[in-house]
Amino acid sequence: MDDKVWTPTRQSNATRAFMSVLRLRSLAWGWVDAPALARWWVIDSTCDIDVQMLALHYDQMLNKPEVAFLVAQPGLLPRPAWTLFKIPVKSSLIFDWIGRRQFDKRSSPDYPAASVTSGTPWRQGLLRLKRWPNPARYGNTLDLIVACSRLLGAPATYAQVLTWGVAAPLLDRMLQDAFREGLLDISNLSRMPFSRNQSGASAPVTTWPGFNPAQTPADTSRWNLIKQLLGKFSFK
Amino acid sequence: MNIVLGHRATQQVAFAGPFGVGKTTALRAVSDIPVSNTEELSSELFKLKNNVDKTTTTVGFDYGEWSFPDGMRVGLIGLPSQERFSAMWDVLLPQSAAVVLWLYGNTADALTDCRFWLDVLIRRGAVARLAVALTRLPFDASEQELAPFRHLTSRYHPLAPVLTADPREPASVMQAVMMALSTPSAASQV
Ligand SMILES: Nc1nc2c(ncn2[C@@H]2O[C@H](COP(=O)(O)OP(=O)(O)O)[C@@H](O)[C@H]2O)c(=O)[nH]1
Ligand SMILES: [Mg+2]
Repeated sequence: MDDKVWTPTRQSNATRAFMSVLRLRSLAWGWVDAPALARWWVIDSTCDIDVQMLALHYDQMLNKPEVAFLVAQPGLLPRPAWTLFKIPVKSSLIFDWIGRRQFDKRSSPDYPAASVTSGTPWRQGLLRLKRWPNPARYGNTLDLIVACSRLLGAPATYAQVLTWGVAAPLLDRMLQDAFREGLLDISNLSRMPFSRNQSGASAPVTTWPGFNPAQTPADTSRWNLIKQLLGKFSFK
Repeated sequence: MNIVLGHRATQQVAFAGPFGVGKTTALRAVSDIPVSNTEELSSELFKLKNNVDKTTTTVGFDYGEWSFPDGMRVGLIGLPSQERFSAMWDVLLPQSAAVVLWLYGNTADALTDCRFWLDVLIRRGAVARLAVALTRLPFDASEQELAPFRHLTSRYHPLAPVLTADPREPASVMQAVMMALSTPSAASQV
């Protein structure tokens, strides 16, 4: 629902321009037909619409959307919580607006997770998992299990994890949930003694086949088994 | 104390948990060979060395197997659920490379079950490579649903995974096994 937008003025040029700006940021933005399903409303006041009716409808909503009210001339807003945009709307103002509103919502405690595009703190710094997430949520992929196991054992950067063969959208979903649920530690790269070698995307990393944290013979045979199982059960 | 599972398997993975939870089902889902019960296995293939009480040697546990291109074989063991067969647990658990504890995720006494089995496992040194798999829950069960299990499990092993899993789904069973095998030892966490 985070990127769902409703409008009573879908045919207006200003409204369509507004949406195309949103979609510059992420293709996930899209129209919905029911106002109650939308987190965002876009209203072009220059169209022939009943603004008072819309405002009353807005008043009755329990979960109020963020409203962009597009005008030709600056004037009074039907509701103070709405945001005024003068046509033609500058894209930087739209980005400011959604960025700020998403941030406000995220800092209020009972709002669900922000969308992946709206904040990805795990892309900076060193990541370490404190506990296993529940991988069943992300489909039955063994690559993700391997990545989680490594992040439980030792910290790594987001760029490094990507080189382990986990698809970025999947990784983002997992990290976002882990972050929200307090299972993920993110520490400052500069505080780590080895940050110079490990910080960048191009830093040398040990990929899975060579990765072997085994210290005892029992560990060695266990890691050998893991590798064999990956060969046997992970179909790409 | 060693038990010979045929002469072929060099490692083994064990499935533990209450009666009817899905241990045999999980074994069947991933085993390369038809899962047999030790009662049905010929004594040629399966020999218990003399460390198990005679009365318990006739008690069946499930046996399946993985084989690999290099000839390696891994035994898959479904432990009997009933406490009166605890001699089997004594023998089979300490030598398992990984243990998946299967639990009903949807019953009122799930946590009591969980504690009972974690005690069974820790007394036999079998929590280091453990995954706790909750059945009969939606795959995307909320963190709040998993949290009590996580909390309890962490008292036995700080990193032991808790996941939702369906014993009928091979990929789901493999996830649980892989998590059990690949959990770092607690000592390596700072
Ligand atoms: N609906 C549903 N049935 C399950 C699930 N897990 C196991 N079962 C069923 O529960 C039964 C478990 O039996 P079994 O594997 O013999 O249990 P065991 O005593 O642990 O070996 C089987 O009929 C499974 O199909 C689940 O997650 N959902
Ligand atoms: Mg059974």
